[in-house]
Amino acid sequence: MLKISSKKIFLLAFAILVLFIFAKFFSLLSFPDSSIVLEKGDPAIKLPAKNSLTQKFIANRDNLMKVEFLLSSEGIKFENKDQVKMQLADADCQNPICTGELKESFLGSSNLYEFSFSKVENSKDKTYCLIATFEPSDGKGKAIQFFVLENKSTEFMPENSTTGEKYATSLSIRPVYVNDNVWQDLSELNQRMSQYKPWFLKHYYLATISILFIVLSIATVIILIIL
Amino acid sequence: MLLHKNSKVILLLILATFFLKGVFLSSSYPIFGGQDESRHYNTIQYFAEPKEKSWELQESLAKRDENQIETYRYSDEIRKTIIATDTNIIRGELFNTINFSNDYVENNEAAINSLQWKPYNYNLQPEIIAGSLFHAIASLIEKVFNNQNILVRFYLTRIFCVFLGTLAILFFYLTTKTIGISSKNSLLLTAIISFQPKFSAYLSNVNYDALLIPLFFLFTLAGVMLLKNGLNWKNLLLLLASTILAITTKITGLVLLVIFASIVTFLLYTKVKTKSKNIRYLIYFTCVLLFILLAMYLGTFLPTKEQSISQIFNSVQGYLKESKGFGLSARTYWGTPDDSLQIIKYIEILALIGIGLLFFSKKESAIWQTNFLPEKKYVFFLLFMVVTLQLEIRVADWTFFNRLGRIETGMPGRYFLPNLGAHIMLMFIGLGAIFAYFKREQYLEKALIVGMLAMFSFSFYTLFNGLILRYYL
Repeated sequence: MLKISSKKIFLLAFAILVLFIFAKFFSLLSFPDSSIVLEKGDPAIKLPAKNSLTQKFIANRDNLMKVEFLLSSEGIKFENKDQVKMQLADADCQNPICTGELKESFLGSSNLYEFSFSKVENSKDKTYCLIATFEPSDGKGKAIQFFVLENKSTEFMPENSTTGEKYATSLSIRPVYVNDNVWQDLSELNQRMSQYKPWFLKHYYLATISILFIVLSIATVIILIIL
Repeated sequence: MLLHKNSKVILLLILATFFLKGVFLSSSYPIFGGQDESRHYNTIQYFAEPKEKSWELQESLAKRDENQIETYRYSDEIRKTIIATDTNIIRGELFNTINFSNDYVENNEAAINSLQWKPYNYNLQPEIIAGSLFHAIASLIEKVFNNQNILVRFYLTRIFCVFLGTLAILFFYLTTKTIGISSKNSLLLTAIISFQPKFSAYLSNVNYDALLIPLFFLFTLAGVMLLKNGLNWKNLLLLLASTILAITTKITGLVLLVIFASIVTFLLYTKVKTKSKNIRYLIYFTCVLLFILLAMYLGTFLPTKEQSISQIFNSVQGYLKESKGFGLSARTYWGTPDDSLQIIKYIEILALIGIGLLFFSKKESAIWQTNFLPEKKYVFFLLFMVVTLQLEIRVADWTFFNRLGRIETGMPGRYFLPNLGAHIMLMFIGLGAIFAYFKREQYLEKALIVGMLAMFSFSFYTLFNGLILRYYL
């Protein structure tokens, strides 16, 4: 029989683990614009050291909070302290709204990178400008490569603002949004998971199954620790 | 006492949790998102087709494209559902999802619900998996619900697989109890198995392993019951039935013939060793003859008839060089984040040392005085199960290498899941042996709780921060 103190330690460890897992889940709970299929289009656009690249896009929803980029794996390796400084600016590419860095996506794909920022609340139908500046740790000689998509709008051609070179394609990017609150986020996730599912795995049924299995799983672990 | 009274309730709780988790997992994978799921489901539909074909069978004219799954020789309904549900996008790059609508119903669901596509194979050579018990049983769902759309039938089949997995969990618990593990530790081990991420995920997909795995678990249960109670018809029939059913489910089940023959021989040996010389020799001769026949039968699966010994030796050497050890198997066996694999490896090494201590330590050591570990005959049986399946899979992988000159599929971890129960039991028996050696038996329960917490965490982490992220965010 375990001593009480051991049980308390296990229960505390369990609580921390559950909190960590769900905190991570809620930090990842955001919705990429699924109408955009990212492609590894060639030829990729090269961005040499100390150069900046601009790309405009229109947000389809409110609460824009991230932009995903597809980079060719032949290029930057972030582990050696290279940086891609990012800016989200207004439609004229003049006034920065948010700044940050390009980081590897949590998904674990070797090509997907993301630029996260504080959510922009009234973003729907507004045009934004992304400015990427490559700053390698050794200062020279390298370039990163952005995969491209077919460009449907000549208005939004990417441009190397350092050299003035314009490209006929568009960067392979995808805006990511959240909702006003976490309940709406969970509801949207339920909507997505319900699609192409039979009636008994949709909407309320799916919500009930998920709540039940989470509660029962946690109860099982707690009971087995306590007894 | 409290635990003893409640152990059945807790077992039911574990089974219910596993089942509900499995249903949630099965709804988390998009249609045809599992390993070879479309091919397995096509086989099920093929089994469910009317025997009298009232439609014309044709040679497939479309060129098969690996990246366009609708070009596979599947039923009309499967191919059109694949197109309607954008399955190719999901099978492609990790970072793309389907184009979701702003509702609980997707745009093409009306077309799927209209039942306008026939669940029939119009190809002369449909892409199916060789006849299997699993597909035959699952085809009953297809037949009974033939007036429902493919989403209903497909996901019901997945839920049937989850049910089979739940049976496997039950067999596992009964096995732990049979070999003498305490109620609490049996429940903890059962919880560990039920939270193992790969096991839960794999058994929520349509695949014949969903039947093979519980049959292996049933065989293990029948095996330990025979070892406990000796030869009796009930247990022998259970052992034989699970062997035959496993073989008719998947060729992997053949290995159970070897284990079946070995266990029966062992029990016969113990039973007749006090009998007269003539009876003993008759039994021994019969057993040897049966083993020779079995070896000859299994030998027909090896492609070595036209090869010299040196060619076979070179081929095996080449295979061992190319196969790169256990990396792929381990990575895809646990279904846990890669960072955890190193820790699991160390625990396995420790457990192996413990099992070594169990068998080879001096009679004066504490391990011989303990009674909280299963008897050695059970441990040996579980080890034998693990080793024979390992050998079978690796020999099968080598036969492909021998024929093609390259590694074809490798050895993904799912191939070894039929022995997950035996493996998990051995890991904790090994750890228990180390604790017993150092007279710290009480640590085993703590180790089991840590194991349960780890498996729970891995299971939830990979589900919420991996699977959902991959397909929906």
